[in-house]
Amino acid sequence: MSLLFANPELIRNARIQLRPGRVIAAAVICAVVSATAWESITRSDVEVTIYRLTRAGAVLTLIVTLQVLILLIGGGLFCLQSVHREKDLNTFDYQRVTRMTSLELAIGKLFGAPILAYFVVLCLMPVALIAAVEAHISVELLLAAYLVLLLGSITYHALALLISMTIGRGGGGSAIAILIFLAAAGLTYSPEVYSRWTIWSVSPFVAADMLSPEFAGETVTVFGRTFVPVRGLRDFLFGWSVPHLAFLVVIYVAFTAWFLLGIRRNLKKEPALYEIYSPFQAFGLSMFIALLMLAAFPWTTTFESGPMRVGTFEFAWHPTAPHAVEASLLRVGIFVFAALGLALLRNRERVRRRFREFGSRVWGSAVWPAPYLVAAVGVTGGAIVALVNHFRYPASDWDTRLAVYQVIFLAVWLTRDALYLQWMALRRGKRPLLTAILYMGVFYGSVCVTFGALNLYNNARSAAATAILVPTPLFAQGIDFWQEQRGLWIAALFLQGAAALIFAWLQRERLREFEAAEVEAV
Amino acid sequence: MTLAGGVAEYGAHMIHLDNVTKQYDLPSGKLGEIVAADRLSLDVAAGEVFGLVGPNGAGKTTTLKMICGLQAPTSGRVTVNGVDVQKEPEKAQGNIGYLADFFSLYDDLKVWEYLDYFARAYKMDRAAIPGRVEEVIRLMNLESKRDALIGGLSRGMKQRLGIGRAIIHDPPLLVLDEPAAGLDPKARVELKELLKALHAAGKTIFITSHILADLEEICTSIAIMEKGRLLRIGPLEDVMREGQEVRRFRIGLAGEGFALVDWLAAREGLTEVAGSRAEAEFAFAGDDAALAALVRELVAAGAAVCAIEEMTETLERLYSRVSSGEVM
Repeated sequence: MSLLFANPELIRNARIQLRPGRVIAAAVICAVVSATAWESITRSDVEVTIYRLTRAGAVLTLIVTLQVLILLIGGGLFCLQSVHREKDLNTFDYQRVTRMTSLELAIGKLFGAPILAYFVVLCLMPVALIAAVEAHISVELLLAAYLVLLLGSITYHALALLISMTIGRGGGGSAIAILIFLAAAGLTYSPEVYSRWTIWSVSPFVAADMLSPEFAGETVTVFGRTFVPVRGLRDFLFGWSVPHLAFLVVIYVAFTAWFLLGIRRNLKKEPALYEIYSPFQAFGLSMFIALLMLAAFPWTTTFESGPMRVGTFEFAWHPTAPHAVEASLLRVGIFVFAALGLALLRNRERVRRRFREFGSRVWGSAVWPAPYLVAAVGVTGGAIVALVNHFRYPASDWDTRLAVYQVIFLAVWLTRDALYLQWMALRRGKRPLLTAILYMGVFYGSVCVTFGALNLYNNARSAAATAILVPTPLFAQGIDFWQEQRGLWIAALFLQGAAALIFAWLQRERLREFEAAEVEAV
Repeated sequence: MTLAGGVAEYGAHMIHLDNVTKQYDLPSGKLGEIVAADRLSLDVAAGEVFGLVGPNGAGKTTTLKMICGLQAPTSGRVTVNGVDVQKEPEKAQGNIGYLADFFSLYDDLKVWEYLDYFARAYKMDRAAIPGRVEEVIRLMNLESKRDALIGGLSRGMKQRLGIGRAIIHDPPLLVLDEPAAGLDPKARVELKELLKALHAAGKTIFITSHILADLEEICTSIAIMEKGRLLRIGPLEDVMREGQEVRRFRIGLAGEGFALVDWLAAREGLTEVAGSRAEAEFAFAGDDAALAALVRELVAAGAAVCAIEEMTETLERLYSRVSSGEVM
């Protein structure tokens, strides 16, 4: 507990943010908001019908939603500034040079930066508690909702802190960080999540939904979409029923731990030497996310003729053809693999230090980060193929060789691009990696638009030919395309491999420059 | 606890740099690499005031940051008070009080809160913190500003508070990067006196400054750095003596009727003759007897000699001669 309550960084933040004037102002504003919410809802002539809540229940959900908004978004924005702003102010070096460990500093910032948001949440508690009593909300349910609010916010705060640590000085980085954070917070509350996977929303906003007891077991239509109420909900992981609350707690704790691990490894390091995760840790995180993806897929129902039903709610995963399912899951996996590839890339300083520490291993380094990327795609892709093969109808169209080809193609394609980015990242110049990503975006954009305009994806031969440059046709590839032009598809795979080798060779040449510089230095 | 609390055994190595190199790319947009430190090896004994001088971009700040564990050497090893900075950074940093060149404080904190924060961050004994905070406030002459917000302090006061922060945990080593930059003359004098007091209390001080006269006054050892390399290093007197291969004199005449420079330039054993008709400087390789003979000869030639003095080497002069390549 001393890591938290005797934490100097937490105390510093509390002293700055909780000055009496600010505290009184916050408390007064909260009191006004509470009174206004209570009066306007409980004394309203309009019948409260949304979610069929009691009036007090409606106040409670409103206040909890407000609390999530303040703690998750408001507190998150404070966390986004917590390291970045210290760097801008030149105060961060003084923190780094103290005896505080990275973890102590991280914990101090994690709970200290949003401390005003925590205080505002506390100020809103009286009206929330009164409303809970009036609405006959059970203590258990209330505690569960606040557990989700608290743990979920901490997870997002840890993410914000990690982002804050990695962005450089200046306003541009800060703006991008805010966008990334808001996107992350918003995406997890997307209604799409409900209908695509067998898990419910992982956003802390679920806390407000949990406090609607009248929903239990009934469906609700909001904006034309049908939802099952969250209370008492269960997720289905590989078909096994798991309480949603337990699932949320586990993933919040797990992701907070992953984010804190990245912060702890780097926070007190020189920024040029940041390596968010070791290659093995990055691989582990990508496998954890892939496992969640596979666990939350409706395996037992996808290949049935109709959608999966839970109560009166329907899960609808389309399409249901085995190869299309495989391609869809690989497509989702691309985000995970791309993040892994980016996390593994080395900058010039890290390469230079490796040369100094381990001597020159030019060829070994030239294929970096291919080994981990190929392993990640191989393990995940292999699992996808095995699971689809296991759950599909025996009579359905399925070609194991095509499935394996798609996984291999994805691995080679991602390796090609990762080797290109690594080669470019070792150039001298301003933000070489960002430039490389920009070039890549222009390449894919122009090629895809051109091929699309020329209708090249619509016949087997030209689709296979386009796979030499872009992987787009791979995911729309049916068995007929594959069987018709198998030779050409395999040729495309080899050409992708050849391109990867060219980038490895280019990287090797770049590494030789480092080697020469080292010899000269010695 | 007093100023002299955290000191190391006198003469033991407080800082040890072993073949340290720091190499990095030029910042934003420019092509090329910088070797900010090029195979540096140096030892700073406990109790010394060690001055590091050099032009902008010589690698002074990088060297300081490597000592503090804020930057990692590309190769080589740094130890502080016997602790490897790379391997045990927190332990090493407990021995260091650091003040950066572009210092910044938390404007929203009060003076005592700021010192209290760093006392806790350096993991001082909890019971000793309030007393130490008051002591440092007194030492830094900030009693009247104890409860003031830092944002309202003058630059000199902020600098004193910065040094207060650096000594709050009573470290045996102070690493100060341009501590006098931007200070007015009065604040500079106060700073110098404070550093002398800290030295007298047994602290080891590693300092960089562009104000060489100040360094000359307080340093016991010095190093001159350029392009990541040490051109000169050693006790101040030795470095000064080393730089002075020949003695330098200045002669003054009463009146301008004698062509002094021409007369001196025509003599053997005199070099680097420069000056005017009434005053000239020169380097002289001979001994005292030869000098006496020269003066006698000058007087006999009709020069109204009114002054002759041996010019001692100043750090500023030595630095400009060393860094321009005149002396290697």
